Amino acid sequence: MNEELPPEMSWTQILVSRRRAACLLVLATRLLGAQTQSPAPSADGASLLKRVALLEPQLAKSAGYPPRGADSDVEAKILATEHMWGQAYLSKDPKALEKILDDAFVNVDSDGILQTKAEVLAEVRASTVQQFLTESMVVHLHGNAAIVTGVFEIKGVDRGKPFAQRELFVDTWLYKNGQWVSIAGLVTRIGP
Amino acid sequence: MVLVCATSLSGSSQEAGDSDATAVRALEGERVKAQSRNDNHALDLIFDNALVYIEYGEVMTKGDYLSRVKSTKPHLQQIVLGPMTVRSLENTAIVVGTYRKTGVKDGKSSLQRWSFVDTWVNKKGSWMLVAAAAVPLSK
Repeated sequence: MNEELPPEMSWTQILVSRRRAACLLVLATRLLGAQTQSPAPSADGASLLKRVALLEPQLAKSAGYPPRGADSDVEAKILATEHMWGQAYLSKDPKALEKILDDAFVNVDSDGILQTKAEVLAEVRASTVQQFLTESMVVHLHGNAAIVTGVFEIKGVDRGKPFAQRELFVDTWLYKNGQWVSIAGLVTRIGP
Repeated sequence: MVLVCATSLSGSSQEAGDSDATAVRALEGERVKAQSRNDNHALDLIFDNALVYIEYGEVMTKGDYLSRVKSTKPHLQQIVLGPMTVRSLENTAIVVGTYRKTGVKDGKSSLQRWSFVDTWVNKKGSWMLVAAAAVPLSK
């Protein structure tokens, strides 16, 4: 086995990787219009993999798909973004949220009212939330789309009165222009 | 459960007139028809295996939901779809709309309006429903 290859790779993985590498290089040539030569049959496996590793994120981005990686990595990234959502309400700062909500984002709140992105950002600016906890979040990946379900618990004081809400949510995420953005959401009270 | 598609399926002014939106809108109509006749086979083809369904504040799987449809008595409930908009982005489509649910509970008739958000993903050329969520309109 070539010393430059990861030691944990089996021969089957190497063969699969080589085939994938060759396919991706052909795709890269077509997409980028490069005048590169096709990989020689004798190309060293490790260098081939390195070339693909460099090209793959660009290819994925240009094709509108998130870079390949373990699903758990993608899930972690989306969950981290979900947590940013809560932070925005706590800090009353919609800046971060502006970037992660698609311009055409729509949300249905727990009263069944439709909200646009602008309305959600205004809600964040006027937030009276003092505690925002998320739990039981589950990510379902569907290529460049993802569905997240979970529960959030918020506490705060509104017009001098303390409030606490525990609600169920579902968010739809899309990998767009190299980043995950939320395109839709719905919040509902828990239980029948 | 009886579902009536009261909304025109010809389109809405709030959506792009692309073929994806048209296809998804037609599938929403097919879903309504399938539910109206408790046709789990048709629903099985429309629903993605990883479907997440949220209604009455509960998360259900595809299996949970199909079981519920199977056990629902059609004559006790009627659903009428209201206006809906479809927005397609690459291989994903979002449908937002309302429906009216009438039924009989404890001998009394009831009427409730709901808002819903459905997410469809195009997988290998077929649009599949991957998430459906609804919440009662309180006002």
